[in-house]
Amino acid sequence: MASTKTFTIGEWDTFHNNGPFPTKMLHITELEGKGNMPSSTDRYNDCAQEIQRLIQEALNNNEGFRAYGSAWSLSAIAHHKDRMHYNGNMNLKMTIDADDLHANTNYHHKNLFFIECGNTIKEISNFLSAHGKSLKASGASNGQTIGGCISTGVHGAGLDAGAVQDFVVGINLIIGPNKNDIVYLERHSKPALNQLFLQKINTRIIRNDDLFNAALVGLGGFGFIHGVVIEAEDRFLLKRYVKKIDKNIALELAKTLDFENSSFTIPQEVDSSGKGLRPYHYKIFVNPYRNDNEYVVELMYKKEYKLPYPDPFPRIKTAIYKDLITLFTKIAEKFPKNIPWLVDQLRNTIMPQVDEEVTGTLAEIFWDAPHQGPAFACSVGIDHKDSPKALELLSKLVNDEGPIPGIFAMRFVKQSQATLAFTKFTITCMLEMDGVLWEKTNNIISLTEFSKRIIEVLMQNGILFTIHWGKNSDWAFPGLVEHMFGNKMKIWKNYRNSLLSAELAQLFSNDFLEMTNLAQPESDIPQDLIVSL
Amino acid sequence: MKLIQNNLKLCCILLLLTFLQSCYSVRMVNTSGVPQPDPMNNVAGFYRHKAVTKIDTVIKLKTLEKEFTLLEKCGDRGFHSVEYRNTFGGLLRSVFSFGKKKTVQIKYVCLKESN
Repeated sequence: MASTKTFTIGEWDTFHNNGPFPTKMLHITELEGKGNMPSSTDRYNDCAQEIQRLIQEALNNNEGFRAYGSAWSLSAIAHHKDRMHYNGNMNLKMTIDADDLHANTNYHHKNLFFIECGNTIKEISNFLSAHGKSLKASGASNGQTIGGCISTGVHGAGLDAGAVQDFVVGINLIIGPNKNDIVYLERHSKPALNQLFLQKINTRIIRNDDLFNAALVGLGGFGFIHGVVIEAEDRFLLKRYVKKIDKNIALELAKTLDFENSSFTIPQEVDSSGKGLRPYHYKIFVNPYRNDNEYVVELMYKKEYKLPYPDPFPRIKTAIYKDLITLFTKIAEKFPKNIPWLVDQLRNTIMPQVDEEVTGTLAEIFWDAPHQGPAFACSVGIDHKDSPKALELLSKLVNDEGPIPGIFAMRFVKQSQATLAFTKFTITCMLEMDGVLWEKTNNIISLTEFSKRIIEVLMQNGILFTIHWGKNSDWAFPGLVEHMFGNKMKIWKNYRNSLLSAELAQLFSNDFLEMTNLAQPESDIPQDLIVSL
Repeated sequence: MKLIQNNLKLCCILLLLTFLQSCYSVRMVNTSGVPQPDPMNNVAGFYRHKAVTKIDTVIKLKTLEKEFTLLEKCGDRGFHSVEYRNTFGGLLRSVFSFGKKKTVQIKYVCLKESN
């Protein structure tokens, strides 16, 4: 049997020290050993029973229950004050056979993989690589679990690849303690698996595009994500370039994404007529405290996987003094006027090396990111056409009302079909400010105040925006989610409250969903919303 | 003037930090390894949320013994990372014991079980 250890913890914190948050208890579930239970599906089903037992226990105690993986979100989205469940040890991985496919599927079984929730991106990449496959995209690093990634919309800078949830084609949820509470969701327009496979994991199925899209970025509120089916692709290489280019050209590219007609080209990355190729990844780094004429940009081009290629890892990886970061923060809190100077001193550690060229797989390029002290990240999604204007507004904000100890970056991501995906524009520019976490003093505004001003400035200037669910913001800002998603907020809530009973909807809510008005059900939920089509 | 003051300030801090480091560590990491997690380990830095084993001991060798091997368990998985700490005190202990007492400070993380 899968087993769970329970700890009374009192408080819980994120990986990046954005808490601590008061928390009653932490469950840690481990799978039954391979020796005792050789079949992966048996171990998966056995674990599902254990999760259902924990859900029943929470129900019996009238308490909430929330799963989390690597705790990489900087917002409180993963937190619950009652019972938190660490699922990082639930890391089964299964291939899909041709016999498991739905008769009308367009997917190739060799590209589909069944992945349990607690697998990190790195584990999945290792597994896929052993099968000659790769994820289509990942975040900037690899430590997040797949359950956490899709719940919060983790993204990289894949112009045409999308965010992590965009290659998920099936979701297996545990929505309660009873037999009928294990449910598998797919799009009816894109079925993947057949009844034979789903019987093996003891699940009922609902094929419904809108329900699937609502649950895809489910913010932990659609139940316990036990497993997902992902679509991978053939392993590929990324060639990464770091260049310093005229800032007007960098921003023009942000606005148009027209690499073909840009005056900026990389000699190795042009077509036969000398026009620039469209990169897989485009990112701009901006130090808002310097009036630079040039910006550092990072571009990656997709290449066929071919051995040999130069080792992408440096032999030695250095890190700066942890105490220096602490000192930086203390100086920033006491003497905020020094922040631009401090940021400038650290530019070599926070910006990539210009003219660096590296080739590697997706997993090698977006590699480990160790903990480097308390960190913050504010990230807004805007239509890429609005990105130069938004950058100008937020740069003015940090200079006029800051300074804030961080720098900007802009990444560009293809639109997601998920109902509450913050990558909602045709191409979304994720404009983010990352830096060290500071405490409010008489000299510097708080992170929440700064986040509130970001929202106000964008609203006042008529820039449509979203906010990354896993990043810092003033999440209690009145009407924030309605403003960002309009009617989609109601649609998301209706699907959630159709799938879950009122009691279970409450169990899978948390303070974050309450604060953002996503926990409260709508009064007029249409009938038959979640029928299988 | 202010810029010079600021630069001096930073230099002093860096010098202080340098002198405080009387010992150093060497950490070796398996690039494709996934560390065994420990969500209860809330330390700051590299080992945060990793299941780390720490060894801090002195190995005493007998007259005819020259070297030693530490036998550690990571199941059939292997090591994600190993960190060896070298201290000035440890070096002195070895010198004054004619190499018979070895200070050993090691931290290691096993690979996460693959399922």
